[in-house]
Amino acid sequence: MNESGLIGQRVLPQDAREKAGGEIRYLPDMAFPGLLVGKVLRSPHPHALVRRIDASKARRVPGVRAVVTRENTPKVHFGIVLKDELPLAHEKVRYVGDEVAAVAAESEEAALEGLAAIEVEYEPLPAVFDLEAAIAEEAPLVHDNAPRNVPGGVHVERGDVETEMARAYRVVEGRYETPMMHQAALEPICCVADWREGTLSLWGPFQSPFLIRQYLLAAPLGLSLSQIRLYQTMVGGAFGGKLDQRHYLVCALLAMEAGRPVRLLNTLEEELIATRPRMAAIIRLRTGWSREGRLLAKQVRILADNGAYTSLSLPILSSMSMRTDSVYRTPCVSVNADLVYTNTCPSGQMRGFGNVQATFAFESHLDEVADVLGIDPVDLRLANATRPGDVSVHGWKMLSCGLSEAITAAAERIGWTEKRGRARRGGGEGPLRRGVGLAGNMHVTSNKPFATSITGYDFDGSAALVRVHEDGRVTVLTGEVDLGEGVTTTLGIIAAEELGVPLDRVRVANVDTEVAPYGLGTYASRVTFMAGNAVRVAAADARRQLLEVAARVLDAPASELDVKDGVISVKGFPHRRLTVAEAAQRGFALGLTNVVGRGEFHSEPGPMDVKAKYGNQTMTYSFACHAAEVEVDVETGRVRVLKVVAAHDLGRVINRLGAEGQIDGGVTQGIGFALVEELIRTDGVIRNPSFLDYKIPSSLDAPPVVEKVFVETIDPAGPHGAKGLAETAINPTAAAVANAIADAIGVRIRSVPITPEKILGALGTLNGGRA
Amino acid sequence: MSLAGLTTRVLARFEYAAPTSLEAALDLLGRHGEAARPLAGGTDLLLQMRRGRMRPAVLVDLKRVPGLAGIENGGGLRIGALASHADLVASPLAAAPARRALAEAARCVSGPQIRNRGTVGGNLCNASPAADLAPPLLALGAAVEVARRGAPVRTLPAERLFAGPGRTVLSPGDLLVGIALPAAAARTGSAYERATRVAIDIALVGVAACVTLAADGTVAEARVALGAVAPTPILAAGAAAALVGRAPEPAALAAAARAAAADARPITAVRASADYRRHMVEVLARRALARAVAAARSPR
Repeated sequence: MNESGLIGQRVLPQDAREKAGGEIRYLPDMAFPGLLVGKVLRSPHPHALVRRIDASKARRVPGVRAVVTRENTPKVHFGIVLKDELPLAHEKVRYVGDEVAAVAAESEEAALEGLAAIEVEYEPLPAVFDLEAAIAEEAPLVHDNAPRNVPGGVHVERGDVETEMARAYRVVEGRYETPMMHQAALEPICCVADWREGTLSLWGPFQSPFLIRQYLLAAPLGLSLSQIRLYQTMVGGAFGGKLDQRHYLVCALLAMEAGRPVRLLNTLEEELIATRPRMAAIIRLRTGWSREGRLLAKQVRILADNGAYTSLSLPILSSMSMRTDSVYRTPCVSVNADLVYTNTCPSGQMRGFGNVQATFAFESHLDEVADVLGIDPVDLRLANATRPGDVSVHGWKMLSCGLSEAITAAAERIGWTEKRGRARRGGGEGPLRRGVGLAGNMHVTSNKPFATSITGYDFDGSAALVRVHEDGRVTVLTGEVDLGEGVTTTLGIIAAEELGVPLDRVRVANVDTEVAPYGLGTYASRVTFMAGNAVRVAAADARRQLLEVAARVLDAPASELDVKDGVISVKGFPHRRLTVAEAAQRGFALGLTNVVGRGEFHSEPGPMDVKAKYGNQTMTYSFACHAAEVEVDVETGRVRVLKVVAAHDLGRVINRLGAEGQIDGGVTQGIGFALVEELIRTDGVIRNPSFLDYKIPSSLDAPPVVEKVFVETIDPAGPHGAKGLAETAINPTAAAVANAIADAIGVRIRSVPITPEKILGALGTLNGGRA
Repeated sequence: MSLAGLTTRVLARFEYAAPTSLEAALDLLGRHGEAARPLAGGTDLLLQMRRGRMRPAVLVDLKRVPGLAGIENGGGLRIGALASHADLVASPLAAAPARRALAEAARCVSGPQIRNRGTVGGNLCNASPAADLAPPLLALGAAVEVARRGAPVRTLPAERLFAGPGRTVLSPGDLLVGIALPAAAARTGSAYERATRVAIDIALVGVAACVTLAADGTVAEARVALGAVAPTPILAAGAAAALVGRAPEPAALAAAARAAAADARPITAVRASADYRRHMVEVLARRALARAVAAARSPR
């Protein structure tokens, strides 16, 4: 590869200074003439019939410009996977927070007054909250068409699990539990909608402008795609939460009713009770092992909390059920996973997409297996680790795979040999016990079956346009978006490298669905890989056009030309030169070309048997191993994470600073999942709907050291060899922390968050035990 | 669950006054009575107003009133009601072994911006059972000074300031103007310990201990105060009684810590269970006492 050296450097994202200085404009900072304030009336009941809605008084409140209820909005069932949602409640409400009505008014005061004036008569119904109770025959139904409250599941049998279990040297079982965790982006979900002359415009921080336009707006509103235009604004954190929300539709309905632009901005309370957090689950594992520590068979049983509507839960459940089967060689597996409706806020996608839960369960389980077999957990993992060229039990092909290298590096850098088992050997002073643990993981770099299940097209990929302006600046147009992780900087680097122009001349434009090429959006750790490939092709096309012009002007064959630092010259004759700006101008002046490069990338993972869920998900996979060292105070139960080593096979580093930042964020969020984060629910009511009581780790809680190790496997399909990183950065952290805690205190805790109370309870300290 | 709880409220309308003398402030507070509320840092008050839990018609901003800030040494220690948490953190007077619990507690409060803005008087008058400054002030034997239009300044022991969660015994028109700590006896040390979920958090349990040793090394005086384990911050009288006259050996400290746990009256709520809070009182009381004893033994 003939590279300039830009790839892999530490590059500050172009908007970093503005962000740090508070100068970036987010949606709520933007002015819209005639803007109305929207507010949503939400159900106070977990499950109730809506007997009567009377909005007449609300419409008479001074300043109120529009009220929408079931009476003046379409009764169209919609949903990105299952069509089980309505724009606003009709017969029933199904969770505390369910959207019943909405008001747009001249001021926030008037909007709130309008909400208060809407009369709603409810008839409460028996409700279900507990997963095991919800699937009982006699349980009340959340949706009448889902018997036992199960709208779907994942049921896969590969091989003869019971025969293998019977011949296994040891069979190990465990039950693991994970909570609802919130994305907790600092910028709440928000948008501005405007309906003018038959066109609906929305501005907002969207995770996938094109999917939102088609499946969450056009479909329920009965509009054509050409009637809807989305403008992407700066995203203040998404983590999965800014894709599938009913919010955008409600805002659109208000704007269409009012005939004026309307802004809908969640309060933090609404954010925490009525958006779509990470799915809670009960995961039961049963695995059979040979005496030498080979995995022979695996049985997975999952009950997953769908909440009141399905959102993306079915594909999330697939990921939760099957993803860990390809991290380690798994000869046969039986999966029985049910999605369960409850009268709780709908769960949805969050960074990791089910894999965080699955990895916590399986990687905790592996350490328990290691104990049973008397094998070191590192050796156990290495003995079973997936290797390059493997085809997993589900037909996934490992194009490049640095899992073993990542495990080895993480173990070495955490000081595994000296530190593992220290507390059990009597180490530790006073109440403090230290332990180390690690966990492996893999993730997709895009998810074709998921994309296909939404769009119905046999398509996963990305497209890009690279326009070279007459002053030599470069604009990259893509349909994918930057969620704050800096992928636009990554794409800029790829374009600059390909074109031979300085990075500061390249800008990636915000998505405007009317202008940008179609893109599926930013999820499934896919953008560096998918859009990176597309941008590379588009930039090469633009470069070809520039060289064609330069060849004419410099009277040399294009093959004899080179581009560096924005200057095209004839190889060996540096004085025969033309700047990129001049080439762009001469391109149209000579009637040759207006330089716009076009690039597409189509993911071709191979055939997929959708019904059997067998086949390659994506062209390549990322791997990681996190190792953690913790210190547990056995008197208080408080855990401090002292160090995390994050070893990542991300194919190739494009922007080192960006990759490091993404790991810092993932590790911190993973520690939140491991130790503190949980939406606490009682009878369907979320009891900690504020940042006073929904705690997330701050920089003060982050480990003093997060050491990054990059295992660069140079993936054959990735742009410059790169793969994804977003989700492997969080997936293994909690399991590594849980394993380190077990190493420190000698007791296994199988549910997260691992709170001080759980630790003291497990140690038998809390009731009657002496401190 | 009320629907009102689902939204952040718009601030209700109020009048704002910024008097430049204590007399004028007291006059405004006296004139408006229950309708008025003093405003210091506003870090608690404005949140309460946004949530609709408090709807004062008049805010009397105290920041231009001279003489309300500052930390002064004069035999005892006098802390102005408007001294900020950051002032306490930075003050060498609050860092002395006898007062150290106070600086430690102030350092626990939120982040730098809130510590710069939030005041000692505000932290007390907000009357949160979990207020970080309350346990050390109780343990250090603080008295609060209360002014009122046309009346002499009166003092009352800090532990008698609180009436319940969010409520003090102050009447409309009263203004807490300062806190007085008695002169510290020789060989006195103090410490503050707290339990939280993450670094920046409200205290799930707060324990302050203050110990004075006699010349023979036995405990001459001890005060242990607890936060977040009763409707108000409380003194753990049993803990003190268990310690006075004894040598501060580990067994004695442990017995005192058990007595402190017995004095706690915690409830189970979303932040922690009663069992956990009671357990933590014992652990943290033992640790706070041990550090207070060490501080008492340290050279001045």
